[in-house]
Amino acid sequence: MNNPFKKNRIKDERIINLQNKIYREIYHLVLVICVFSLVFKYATSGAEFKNVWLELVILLGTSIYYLVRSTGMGLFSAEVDFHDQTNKRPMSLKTILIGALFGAGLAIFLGIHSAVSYADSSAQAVYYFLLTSVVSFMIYIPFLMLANGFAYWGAKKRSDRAVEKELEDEEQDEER
Amino acid sequence: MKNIRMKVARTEMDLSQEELAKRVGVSRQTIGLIELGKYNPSLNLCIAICKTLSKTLDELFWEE
Repeated sequence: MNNPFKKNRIKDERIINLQNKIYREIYHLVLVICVFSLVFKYATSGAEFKNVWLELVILLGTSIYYLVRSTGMGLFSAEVDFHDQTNKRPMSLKTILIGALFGAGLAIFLGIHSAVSYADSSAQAVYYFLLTSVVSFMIYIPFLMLANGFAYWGAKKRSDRAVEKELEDEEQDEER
Repeated sequence: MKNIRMKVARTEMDLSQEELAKRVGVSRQTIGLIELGKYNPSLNLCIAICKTLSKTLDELFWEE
């Protein structure tokens, strides 16, 4: 018999799922607004850190929060496993390649910035672009590949430990 | 509550958690957590597991 004083424990999954969908959309909206704000501020007031620190905190802070939470809950390992069983190239390789691509993009951006800001003639602009780009390529590509690789390795290790802990009951059962 | 029946049905078909996960389209951890009773799967996922293991929803997920 139902106790009239006891609250119904069942929650409406439809409402919760729709709310989560809206929160996800809000997160993407915030990211888009931040990127637009970054681009707008760069175009209007130049690349000064004091102008864009809040946008960078939002972009980096949310990414770091997701990484910390997903590795702590073991979700990162599941994401990697699921990705690797459905894709030809493993996520570890893609992570390192993304580091290289980001490094290349940054080097080209710095090359253009240097040419536009400091060159007096077109020949000098080409020289500054090549000089800055090549040096930046040599610095940022290996650095970001290594940084991404170590971040991936650390996150995977932490996440694997969390999953192991969560599944340890089952492993003990299988050992018996 | 552990789902022993799902684990038995999986081993009867000689499938590892990883193989079942691959056939159903989820991660190995998800299958492990369902068998441990630590994750409550959606109806669609239950149906996909039942179809893969050739069982009915009652046989795998109905609590007596």
